[in-house]
Amino acid sequence: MPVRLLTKTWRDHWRGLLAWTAGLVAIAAVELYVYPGIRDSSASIGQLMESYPEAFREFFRMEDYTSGVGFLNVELFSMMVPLVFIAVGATWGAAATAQEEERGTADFLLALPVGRGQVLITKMAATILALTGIALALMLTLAVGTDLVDIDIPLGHIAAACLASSLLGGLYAGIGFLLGALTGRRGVALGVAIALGLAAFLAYSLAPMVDAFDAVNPVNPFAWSVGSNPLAGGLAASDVLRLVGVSAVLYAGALLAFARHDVRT
Amino acid sequence: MSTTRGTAAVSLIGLTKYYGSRRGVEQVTFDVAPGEVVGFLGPNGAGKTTTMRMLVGLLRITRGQAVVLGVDIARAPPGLRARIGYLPGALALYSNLTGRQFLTFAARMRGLAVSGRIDGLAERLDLDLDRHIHDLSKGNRQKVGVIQAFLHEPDVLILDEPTSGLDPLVQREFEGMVDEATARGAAILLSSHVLSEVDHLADRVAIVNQGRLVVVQSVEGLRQGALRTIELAFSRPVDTAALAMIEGATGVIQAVAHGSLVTCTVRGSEHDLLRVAVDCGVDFVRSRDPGLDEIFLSLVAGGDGNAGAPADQDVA
Repeated sequence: MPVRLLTKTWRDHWRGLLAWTAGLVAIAAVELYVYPGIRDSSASIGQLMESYPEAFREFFRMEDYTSGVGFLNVELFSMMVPLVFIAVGATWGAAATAQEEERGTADFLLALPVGRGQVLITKMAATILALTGIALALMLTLAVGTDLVDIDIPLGHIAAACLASSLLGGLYAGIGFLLGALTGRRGVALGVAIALGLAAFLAYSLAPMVDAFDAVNPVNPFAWSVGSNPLAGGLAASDVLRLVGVSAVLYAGALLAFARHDVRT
Repeated sequence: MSTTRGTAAVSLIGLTKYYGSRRGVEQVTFDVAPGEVVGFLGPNGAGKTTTMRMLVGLLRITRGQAVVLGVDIARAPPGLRARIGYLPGALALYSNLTGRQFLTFAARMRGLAVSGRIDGLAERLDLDLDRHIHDLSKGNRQKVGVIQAFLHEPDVLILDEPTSGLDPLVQREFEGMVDEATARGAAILLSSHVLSEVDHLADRVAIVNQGRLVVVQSVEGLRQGALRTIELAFSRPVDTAALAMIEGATGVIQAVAHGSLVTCTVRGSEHDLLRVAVDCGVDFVRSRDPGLDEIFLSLVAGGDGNAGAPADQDVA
């Protein structure tokens, strides 16, 4: 793998990556900071929750809001964290080859003595490393933070929750890679990947209320990622396999499509 | 598969590209020999860029074959491009880098040790390597593009409009670089939409129009094959007998008398016409060579081999 291309890809995206990571870490830290207050007033919060419409509670999966796991699930892992990973994955995926093509730099890059497969695999590796970096930063924040505010969650479960979300990001990166390789248009690839991510999120969140969405859950990547509640019980192997399997198909499809693609001018 | 076709460094054999049902180029066939410069000419949209981008693997070939350094491009390993230098027509560089960073990246991606060669070439073309590419003028960006194409001393150079945006002084340096490359045996395909631009660089020219090859010929051959205008001035009005003799001379296609002046359209040798003219007592002979651009325009406009027919013939 051309290491120079890997470092160059990082160099091109490090500002965005840093911003996403810092934002996510900051939000996690703030949530952890306010949690002791929630816990101490759990009785009244419980009453407050009771007063919320049932649909609202179901949408945010508010079963046990005042427990540490329940609180972090509602505040972070039911929406915020997976959506950030989807956004980062889709952005990097869509940019991988389509941005080079739209800017015209693909004519230079792909005329180098490096295969197209190598170029795209390098961009994929850079994306996976970026998602891993965000996941590690979030995991570290939660590990230290939960310890400081006395939330008892095994490190393995924190890791599982972070891994589940980063795998989801990796899958939407795959959609970006594939559409970018097929169309050569970054905007199309990004737009469709983000739209599919939001659709998956809404379908999963509304599933308790809408039967049709509930029926979709078995094929909904969002449900594979957070449906089994990894923060409470770790990650189910079957969910990991489905996320990784679908991603592998998307990545392979992107490599095939890019190998046959006419580079646009 | 590796195919060797004669001694050519680049062989295009019936090269055809369709974008869906839209034609890019059709049946383009010509060679570039080692040490040779072929000027690739045609109006904008004729298919020059499409052809060149097929040669570096950016576009898939619809039909036909392109053989570069003995290897069929459609099956060539990426490593073949280590021996090819390519300057894109619509040049886009990583504008967040400086010229030096960009060229160092290009060198390392090619597995080259970063030597003094970058500095040497930059000095030659008068390029400031430490400025960001987004701060460079179009001409200076073009210099970065030219340097990355020549950096690894490739055996084949595919240069799409290389002199666009370069000032005359830099163009001369560029021509020096082309000469040095051919001297060490490199084959160069160089496109332009103006014939005069490649006139003194190219050994031969290949002219395309509307996706088809019109002619492949040496610049000299193109000139010789072209129609020229010869004016013969006599001291008194020309009679029909003399005009008939002039018209009958070898190479004369048409002769029109206008008082004491005869305007002849000639192809090939003028020997016989001049002999006849002297016999008829000619006073002055004026020959007008068609400009290369005129030849080019007539080829591209007519495309029927009626090369260089002057458009402004005085037929009164």
